[in-house]
Amino acid sequence: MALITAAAESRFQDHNDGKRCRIVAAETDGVVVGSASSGRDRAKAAYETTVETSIACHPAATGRGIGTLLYQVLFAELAALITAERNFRVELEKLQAHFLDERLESRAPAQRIQ
Amino acid sequence: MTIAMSLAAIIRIASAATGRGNIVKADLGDDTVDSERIRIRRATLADLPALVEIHNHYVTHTHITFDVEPFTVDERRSWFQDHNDGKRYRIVVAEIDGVVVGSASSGRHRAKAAYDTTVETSIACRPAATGRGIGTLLYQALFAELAAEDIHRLVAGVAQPNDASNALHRRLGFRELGRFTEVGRKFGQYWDVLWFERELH
Repeated sequence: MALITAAAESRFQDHNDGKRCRIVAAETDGVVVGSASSGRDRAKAAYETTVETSIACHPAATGRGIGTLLYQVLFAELAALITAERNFRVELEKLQAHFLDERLESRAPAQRIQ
Repeated sequence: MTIAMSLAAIIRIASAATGRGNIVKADLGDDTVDSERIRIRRATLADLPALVEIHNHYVTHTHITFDVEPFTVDERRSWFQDHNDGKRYRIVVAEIDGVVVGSASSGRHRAKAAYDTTVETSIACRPAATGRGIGTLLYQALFAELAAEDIHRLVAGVAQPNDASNALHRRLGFRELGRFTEVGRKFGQYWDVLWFERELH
């Protein structure tokens, strides 16, 4: 087993924030034979919505469709995040609209313009 | 050949190319060159406030840098150090009457070790100082500064649209590589980046 250095650990954390940056691994019989990951593309803030993906398999495990599976699972993980964020935004907007309605209703009725 | 001489030679060529008839006066006593009132020289930490002011203008008002929040001078210190190692990473500034009006810089392109020989270049002028060939002078001076370094490729990413910067890069020998679409989000919309590359020599 390779020694886990601080640098390797920080590299892992950079790709494992549970949000845009994720790592998925493929196992056969309990042995990790490959991984796919998403990480920050570039540092500047506006690049937030772009991720850079990477994939690698053990040399003995290539040519068996594992890469395809890894990427599909990674994309599904990231898509779930997008769906969750979108749902959250929709709920938030509903909530805001609701409070706005309440505030408007609580005001004195507007004068009717003849 | 000293740096001063190579800078002077290149700025003469650049001035001739811009066709503005700038009077080029080389001062071989130090590493600076006067072109009419424009002076190109290496940046020092004393220039940082002016560089931050210029950068922040583009951060706040335009999509052309993908930084979103303006910087304090203190926050920008690490950028200065990263672009000022005296080797592959350099900053040159343009002055008119002692006022810094623009800069060009080279910095690390990507973190992995094999990218050592590739630098990413960047350039910016005060809005009032554009369209006068200063960008050309800055890039020519930067390339002269880097001439002896172990650099194989210069690359530059230009957020689109930016016709002036595209034209500048093409004029300076950069080739268009490709366009990353909608890779940046700023002001609530997505922006493309056109990438350029050239050899150092």
